[in-house]
Amino acid sequence: MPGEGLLIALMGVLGTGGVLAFLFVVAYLNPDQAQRWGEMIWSVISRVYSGGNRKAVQYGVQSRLTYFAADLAKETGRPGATDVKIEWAQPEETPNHFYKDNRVVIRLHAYERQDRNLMTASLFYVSDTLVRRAKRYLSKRQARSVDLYAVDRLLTKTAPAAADLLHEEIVGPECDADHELGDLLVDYQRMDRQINAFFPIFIRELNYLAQKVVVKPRDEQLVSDVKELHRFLVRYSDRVVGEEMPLQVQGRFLRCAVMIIARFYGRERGDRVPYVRHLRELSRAMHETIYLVGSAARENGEFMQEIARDFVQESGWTEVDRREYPVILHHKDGTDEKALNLLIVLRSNQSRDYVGEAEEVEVPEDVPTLAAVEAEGTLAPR
Amino acid sequence: MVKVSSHPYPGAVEIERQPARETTKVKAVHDNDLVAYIRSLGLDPESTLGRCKFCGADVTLDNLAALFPQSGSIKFVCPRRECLAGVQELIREGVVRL
Repeated sequence: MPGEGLLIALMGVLGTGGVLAFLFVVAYLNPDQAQRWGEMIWSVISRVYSGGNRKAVQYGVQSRLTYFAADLAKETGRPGATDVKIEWAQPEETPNHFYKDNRVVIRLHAYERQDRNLMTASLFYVSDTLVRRAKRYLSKRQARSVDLYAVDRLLTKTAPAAADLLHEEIVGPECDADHELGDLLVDYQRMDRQINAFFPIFIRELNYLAQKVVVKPRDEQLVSDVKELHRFLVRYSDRVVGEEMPLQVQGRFLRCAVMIIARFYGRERGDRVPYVRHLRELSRAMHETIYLVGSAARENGEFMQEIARDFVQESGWTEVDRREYPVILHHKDGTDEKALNLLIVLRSNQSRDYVGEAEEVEVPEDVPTLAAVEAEGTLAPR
Repeated sequence: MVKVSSHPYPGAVEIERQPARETTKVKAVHDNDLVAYIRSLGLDPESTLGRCKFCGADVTLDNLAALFPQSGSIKFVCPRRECLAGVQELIREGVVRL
């Protein structure tokens, strides 16, 4: 066991009590991992004590869902992760309590069928917790696709055998029956794997949308805005390095922009002015989130942070997230390259609220792209 | 987390309070308790419990995937993908909760 040596060394230094305290702290900071240990221990105990089976099932499901909640919070810039707890229905629950409680009771099988347990619990959990309010503004197919992709991601990362079951019993047949749903899932996979934008941008924007929109659910304009965000991210996933393309979603409700910072010349001169000026224009055009994107390499990363700092200081916007993430860059010669990018998320402090019908909401003016700014000669191309 | 602050007492260390961790609860029944649970709800576990809310198939202990209350009666769900999707939609719409 790889950690055995470390454990013995720790016991030598800290003593048994110290090691237990250390493990307790590690478990507190990583609840999903602690529950995985619990699952393993109880699955062994369940061979001699039948009550252990219930515990193994419980810890196994909780660990996966807690991991997903933590991962989601991290990727979408939410302040805190939520732990997940299986609450066993009491075998003596009265019908009155059952009705009053008004909750779905999921049937969880014995640990030997844990893959099925994980699949069912994940499907229900994701429907309940992942941008639930925003999903009410989407078309049924959009909402379904978001849930399915998220569950697939959850299980693929934490329980591959349960992911296989999901593909075989749910995703496969459903995509066979509805090709448009299948296309949406392929698009999400593309934006997730190539530019890591499914959770950090797509889901984050849906979260923001849910926090403010007050028009009627499934309004055509809302559905159309989300489709535009989706199309934009797919185009952006396929972008070839150096290619100029619109980098803004200029919907009626949903306005966000990506600003790529990879200009060698501007960076070399340390000239942040054109970038900050463009950010100012995006802000004036009522964009509410701006994603600064560029190589995480030291020089470029620092340049990006300086641009963000300048803009935040003068505008009152807030930097809400900063993270490095792996991407796949497409080059003109057809080759792909794995790289590490930096994402800085800036959020306006004056987000708009909408009350009333979609048609009553004024569409702000468009902003010239950064390419147009460059064409003026302020920035030299790479 | 411990953070050194500009405290009025020099050298004092201020403990930054962490917000209490929130918990999402998922209600479930384990196979070991299923028979007793079904009995406690006034049903006979030996026979058909009822029809699936979504596809209308007979639901027994063998093919029960979930159950929930609605309009004063107990709704049963079988494990077919369309039926699981039906529950998910009710959850999304806020008709039932976890």
